[in-house]
Amino acid sequence: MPVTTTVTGTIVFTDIVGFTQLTDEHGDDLALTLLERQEELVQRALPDTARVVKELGDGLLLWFDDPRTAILTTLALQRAFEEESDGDLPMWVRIGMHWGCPRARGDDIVGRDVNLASRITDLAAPGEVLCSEATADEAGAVPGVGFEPLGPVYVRGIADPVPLVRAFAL
Amino acid sequence: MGDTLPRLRITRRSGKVRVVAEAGATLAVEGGSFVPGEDGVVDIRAFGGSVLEVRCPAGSDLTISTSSGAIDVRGDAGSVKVTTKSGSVAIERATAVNARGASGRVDVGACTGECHVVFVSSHVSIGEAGRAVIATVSGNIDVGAVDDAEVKTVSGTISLAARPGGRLAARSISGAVEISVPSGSRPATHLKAVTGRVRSECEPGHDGEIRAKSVSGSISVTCR
Repeated sequence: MPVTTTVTGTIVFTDIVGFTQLTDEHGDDLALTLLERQEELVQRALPDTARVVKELGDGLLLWFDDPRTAILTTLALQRAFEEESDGDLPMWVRIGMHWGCPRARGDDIVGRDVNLASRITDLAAPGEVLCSEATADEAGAVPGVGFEPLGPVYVRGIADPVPLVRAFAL
Repeated sequence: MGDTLPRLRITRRSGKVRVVAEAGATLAVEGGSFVPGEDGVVDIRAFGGSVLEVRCPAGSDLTISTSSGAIDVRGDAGSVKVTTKSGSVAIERATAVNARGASGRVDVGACTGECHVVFVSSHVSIGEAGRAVIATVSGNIDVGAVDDAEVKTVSGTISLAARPGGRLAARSISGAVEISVPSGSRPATHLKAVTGRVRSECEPGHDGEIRAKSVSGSISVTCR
């Protein structure tokens, strides 16, 4: 058995919507430009208490020590992506997160909570930040941020429905 | 339950969910049971038969979660929140709608407030809405009459009909965008396609605002 530790924090996925279509129509150079721009904006926004865990095709897996910072940072990121989309090409990114206790494996994180964060991201629209209710509860009241409960959601690979919340800037 | 309208939370992994919201009705459940939750919401669970049918007063707020069952809401509901992975969704009338999922057709007859729909590949059809916020990847989007809309799709087509003075924003990557405005309207238009064709038959003015942008999809604004 490999040596692993359990860590507690917020798991965040980003995903560029329409990436395959844009790449198909405009070629690999555009794909690289979008990926580099996404990473540049993310790296610029991340505080010291967060990091990029790894790149996943057209998305990123991020780690934040606390959910409040994760919510504030990702909402700011969505504003940056929206400004980026004012140009000719859209930078439509959906973001999902879950606060939990994954296992750390080197720099990587694995486990049910990582899978759940990924599934939550699948339900977000471009420009949205969705989080599990556990994330919102752990964050508590966040100045300048509203939470809209969306109800429980069945997600692939998770037995019980998971209460979901949309975070938005007030 | 007092005089306040019930808030119902219906959870079912698979199988059809049918809700009828009508004036004067009292809460009744066939094919399942209900218990008042600690948060004031009534929890409804199915027994496992093919159809769970719920009757409730008009204006009831509904939160419905399924994995694969079809969801059918008839009558006059309050706020309706729906999540499903692959079930179709039909809502006759509601004050607000928030529907999310992957595949399966979405039909909303009339929504007086905001109709927020996020699906991957579903065809989304809304008869009329005060405000429509819709996002799909490949599903087509069709809104019959709307005051205010923000719509995005990657490759689906977008068809929007603005009410007088409507403010509509539509964006696509490769899907065609077709927007119609009432005859004689002179909306402010901001239309841009990187490689697609752009056509507008409306005289510019200040009767509302139409913003449409695409990468390769065509854009057309017509008077009806």
